[in-house]
Amino acid sequence: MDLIKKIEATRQVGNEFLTWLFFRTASGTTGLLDTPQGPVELSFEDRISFVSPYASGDAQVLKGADLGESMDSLRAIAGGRLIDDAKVSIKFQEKRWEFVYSGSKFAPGGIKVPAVLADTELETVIERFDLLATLEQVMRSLYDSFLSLRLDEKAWQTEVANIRKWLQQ
Amino acid sequence: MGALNGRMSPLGFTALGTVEDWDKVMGQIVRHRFNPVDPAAGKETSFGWVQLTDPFETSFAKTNVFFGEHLVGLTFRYDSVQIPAGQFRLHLNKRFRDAKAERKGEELSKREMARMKDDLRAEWVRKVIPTIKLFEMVYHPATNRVWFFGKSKSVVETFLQIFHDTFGLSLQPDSAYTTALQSHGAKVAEKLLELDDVRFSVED
Repeated sequence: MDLIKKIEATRQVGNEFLTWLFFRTASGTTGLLDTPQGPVELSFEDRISFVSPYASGDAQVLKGADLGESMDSLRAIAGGRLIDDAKVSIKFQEKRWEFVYSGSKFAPGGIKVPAVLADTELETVIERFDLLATLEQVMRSLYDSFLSLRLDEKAWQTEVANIRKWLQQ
Repeated sequence: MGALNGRMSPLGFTALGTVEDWDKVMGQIVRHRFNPVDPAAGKETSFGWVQLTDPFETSFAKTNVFFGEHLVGLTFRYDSVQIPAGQFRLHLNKRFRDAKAERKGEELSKREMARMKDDLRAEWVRKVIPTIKLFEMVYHPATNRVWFFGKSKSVVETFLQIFHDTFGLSLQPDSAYTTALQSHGAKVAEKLLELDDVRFSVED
């Protein structure tokens, strides 16, 4: 199988990752996620798009405040849907990033990086891409945490059981 | 201009390998610099590198290609002459009518019509100012990360080729699979292909 086919065949893993992030942030008591770089506060903002892996066209878009805690979000996941993309914010080391994360594309877009304090064009470019790289490192660390569970059959079964239990509460 | 200001929506890539000879790369950047569209030569598109911060500047030195010690920044400029199809058709039909009238109603042959169409297009290409599209690219050689601020398939494909020709490196697009591959190796990434779809549904 060539690389492009492998990328296409695993697009749903990105949706699972995003849905898992939703569970971890919504079910936790502090909203903090651990990474090797330090704790990350991740929030789902005012738009979440769900997709059904079993019925193409069975998409659902939720808009509004507090979607991370809304019953509609939980119902969508309990109904078998995964998150396709969502407006997300991250607080890390006292800085805040806002972006739309696409699970299937496995990419952030519309990224609003924290305020850049540089004076010159040169410094601005360096600082903006340093902030972009930091965001990518954080998301990769979270993905690593997800992978370590997802690829461990026993650990993943326990995680899925926890997610179902949370959805039923 | 996502790279320099505003919200950023880059496509992320990982460069496979490292640049060994930056002087050679500088030469390749010059070789692949943007040259304006040349309608007289029948060219309706042109693409190549310009400076990251100035789309009209194609003189390159390490001082304007490197941003600090770790970033290489360039803009990929893509110019094309775009003939508005509807307007073109109106003017072409008028030419057909005029030619037919000159010949007292005698029909034009298909070959004549095709030649008239080519002639009119060539006239318009010389008159139209090319549309400029700019796509920034930033490359971090120490981490092999490359960010490209273009989305359309044709532009991305052209960019991948010009990046390879310039830096001598292929680019691997970000994805759930390639990220696992880079972080954990082929054995782990291949496991993703064997996963069953997950079902969080509680209706079962």
